[in-house]
Amino acid sequence: MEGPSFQPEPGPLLRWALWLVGTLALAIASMSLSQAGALDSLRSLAVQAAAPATLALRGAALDASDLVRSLLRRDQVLEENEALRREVEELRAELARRQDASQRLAELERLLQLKSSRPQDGLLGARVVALELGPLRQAVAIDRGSDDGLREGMLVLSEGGSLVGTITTLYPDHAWVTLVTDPRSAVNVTVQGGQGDARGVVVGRAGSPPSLELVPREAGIEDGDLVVTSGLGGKFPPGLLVGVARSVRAHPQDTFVRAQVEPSAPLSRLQAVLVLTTFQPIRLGEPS
Amino acid sequence: MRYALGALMALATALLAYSVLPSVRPLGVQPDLALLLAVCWAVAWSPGEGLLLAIVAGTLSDLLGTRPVGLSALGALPALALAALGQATVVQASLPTALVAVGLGTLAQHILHLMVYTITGEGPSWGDALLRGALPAALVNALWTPLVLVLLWGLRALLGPRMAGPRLGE
Repeated sequence: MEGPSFQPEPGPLLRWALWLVGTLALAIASMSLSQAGALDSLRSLAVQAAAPATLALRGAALDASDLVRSLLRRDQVLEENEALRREVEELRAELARRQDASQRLAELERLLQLKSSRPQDGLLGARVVALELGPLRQAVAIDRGSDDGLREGMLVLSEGGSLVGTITTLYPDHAWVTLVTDPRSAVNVTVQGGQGDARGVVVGRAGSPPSLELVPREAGIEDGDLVVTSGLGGKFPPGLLVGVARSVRAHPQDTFVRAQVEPSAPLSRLQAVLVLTTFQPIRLGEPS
Repeated sequence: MRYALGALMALATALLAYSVLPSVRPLGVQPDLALLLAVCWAVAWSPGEGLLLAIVAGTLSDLLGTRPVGLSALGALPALALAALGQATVVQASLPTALVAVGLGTLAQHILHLMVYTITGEGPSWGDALLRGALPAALVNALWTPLVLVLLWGLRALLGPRMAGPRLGE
């Protein structure tokens, strides 16, 4: 005689564990596909499809932000501030260009019988369609891609002429620009201080403003000094404004100054940028 | 109805993450709406549905950004596991469960992201990333949790706690 059969059903925790394992497997599989570039066309489609919505949302958000600010402060003051901010950025960029180009580069270029490249630089306008400003990744997506002649390594500037970043991921119809604030970013720079120029490196930091490194303490840099690209390494042309030195600390026991850099480009409010299409980054080989 | 709403909210969080939220960053950190939505949904309805939402919202979010597709869903697993454990042991649909799951889950998410980026050779300094990235992110996400949870509780009051249809993971 057969007794009643009993088959225990898996409990909720077991079922939940199975779901977790399934999701884990799915995530790892899709990450592998993604890293292999198999999902690039899907990414491209997604960004293009989302672009109208993200542009509209960003426009609305910036409008709302301005509205809130104008409620807290007078409209006139706000407009003046915005105009002054742009003017300051443009003047700083101009000052940086003049100081650097006229004092050192123009002379070198003349000596080498090279043409001054900046006036003839090709610039391509692009709209920012997405921003990723997390602690581990700082990038913006622009609505120009390889179909528009863009290539990886091209530089991207703000409307005021400050350095925004470098194109690192390219699709036919859009591109991702890694910002100068990204933790993977490092830019050789010159600090234009009152006691002469000093070389250093601007390094992106996770979750904090980029730091200014390898500037000797003796250089005597101060808060507010302009930070421009030095051209060393060949990845950036010289004289592009990166930002302003902030929180400069020079302890006697330190070999190098500790400082942060406030980017001149309004990175979280970027709406349009310029791609420097004529500058070709140089891939330096090992010294013989 | 609930699932359609969940899908719409997943799409909205992905769009907001790359448009509005970069301009709204208290403490310099952007809240992770996809994670918040998944965990709060798990607390308000069921962990299984929260997991499904994490996959959908995370995948959409990854497709629109630079992260490897699947990383967001992977990162949400610890938070959802905590939410599921909390649901099993503590009073259901509780704010403390959501706060703990989001706070600790965000930390675990950042560690997972850092591990993946380190494996792919793109990892930043762990010290900086944890101190200046993960901790503020956990705090900001936790601060946003009551807002999202109250929104979902409101929806649950309208739609009912349990409707007909499959309930994953239960």
